[in-house]
Amino acid sequence: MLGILDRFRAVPAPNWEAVVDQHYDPVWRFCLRQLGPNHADDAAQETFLTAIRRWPTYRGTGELRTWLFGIALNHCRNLRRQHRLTVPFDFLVQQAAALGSDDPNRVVDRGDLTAALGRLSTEHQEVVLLHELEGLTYAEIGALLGIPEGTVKSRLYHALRRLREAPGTTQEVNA
Amino acid sequence: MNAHEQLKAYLDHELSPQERTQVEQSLASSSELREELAQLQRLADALTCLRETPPPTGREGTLRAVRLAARPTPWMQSSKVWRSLAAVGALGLLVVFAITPLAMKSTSMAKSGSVESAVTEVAMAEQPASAMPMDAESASPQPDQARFRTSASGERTQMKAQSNEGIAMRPDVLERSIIRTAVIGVRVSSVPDSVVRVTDLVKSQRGFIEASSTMQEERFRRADMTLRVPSAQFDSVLLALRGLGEVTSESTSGQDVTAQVVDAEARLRVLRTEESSLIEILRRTRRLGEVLAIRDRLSNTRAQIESLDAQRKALREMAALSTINLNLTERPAPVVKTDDGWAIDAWTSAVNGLKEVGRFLGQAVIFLIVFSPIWLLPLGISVWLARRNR
Repeated sequence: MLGILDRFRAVPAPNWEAVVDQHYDPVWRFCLRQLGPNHADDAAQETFLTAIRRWPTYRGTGELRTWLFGIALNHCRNLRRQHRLTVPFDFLVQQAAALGSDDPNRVVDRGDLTAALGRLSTEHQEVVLLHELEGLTYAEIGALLGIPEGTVKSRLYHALRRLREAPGTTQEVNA
Repeated sequence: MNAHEQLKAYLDHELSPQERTQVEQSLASSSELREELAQLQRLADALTCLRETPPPTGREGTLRAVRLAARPTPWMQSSKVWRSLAAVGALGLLVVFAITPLAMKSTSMAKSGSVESAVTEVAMAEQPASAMPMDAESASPQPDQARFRTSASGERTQMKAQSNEGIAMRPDVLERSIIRTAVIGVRVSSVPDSVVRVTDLVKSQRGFIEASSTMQEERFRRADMTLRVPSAQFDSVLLALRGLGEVTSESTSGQDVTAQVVDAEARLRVLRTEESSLIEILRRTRRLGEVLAIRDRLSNTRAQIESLDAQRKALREMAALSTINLNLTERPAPVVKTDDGWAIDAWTSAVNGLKEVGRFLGQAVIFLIVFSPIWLLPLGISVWLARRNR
């Protein structure tokens, strides 16, 4: 009963400039990791414009950031489908190398890791992105993808196991 | 969920304290698990390195776009407003289509009523012209409109005040004029006897029977009577009629015409004053053109006096005498039941039932066809949408 009432209760519209100010960076990074540098700006902007249109459907439950990520995720999926893109792990790996944060003693071979990540299923790629790169909790990922937390947990484990078992990564990690 | 699957969640601090303890126990006893945990940790560290991104771009563009989009759209430009207006319009159109056949039926029924009201309206419209004051100087046939209006209304309020005084002094006018009508159906043991009793009753109350008809139906007789009785006796007559037998239906209504009667009287006074002043003017005038104009107006005024007087009399008479429509029916003689053919009875009722069902189905088909503009459109749209989404 209360759920039904909640459905009809409108949350007052926020100051959108302040929202952009506060959330643009995480949303942009999210889009960058999903699409690469060529589409990140467009996707981030489209996310906020969609958020303004869809505001009447926002129930005010959960964090605003998670809601925005949900919209961004949908956009990124659509754009990937539209432009036949893959998750740009090669870009991310290069970026890490360029910024000098990969320690050659510790990290797996970059090319191999990129290849291994690229071989994962889209579902596994998404949980790896959301957890390892975005740093979202299992609960947040579950809310975002619309799946139970337990599923997030096992998906993530299996994704990492695939990575670990992929040729070229195992030796490095084991070394 | 096996111990291996828990390892990743253990690293991520996503386990409950109880699960944590379990995993720690398993780790203590299994070197294989410890090795896997270390691998997972290294892999996670490697992935964490990928978190680095270049600084965000495009923030300004988004801010501009958001500023534009979040500005409340003027309602005239909002597509929502137009969409809802269009929806309301379409709905209204449908309702009009659905109602038109019904409305046409009821207008033909109400036609007589509207003619009556049109007549009174005409009378009202003519009234100010008749109330126009006349003086010798401005006897031109077309006086200017504004002046005519103000003087007419002034005259009229004055006359009303006078008539109100008159009412206060005459109690018989103060009495409200109400046209009372009753329709009553009574089931009696014998219609002819009741007709005689009703006639006597009405006569004793100084009323009369306006119309009466007796009919022989298949198994019983019935009579329709229209009684006119003085308003004061209306209730007692109605009470007596109820005593004739079993009342099957009854409805009474009253229409207060006091205002109309008073108004008619006031207007009559105005017109009579005008009439006498016209006569006075006529007596003094010598010029032929003026005489003709005044005579014309005089006859016009007299015609209006006649019509108003008739109207007032009719109202008074209707109010003075109430109308009762009486329907008398006899209790039907008991039907002698023949018990000779239950099979035939069953057959007949079954056939009748079949006919009913057939008729109903036919009606349903006709309704569906007639209402097709209403259901065909949504159906077409949904089929189209379904095809498009396929």
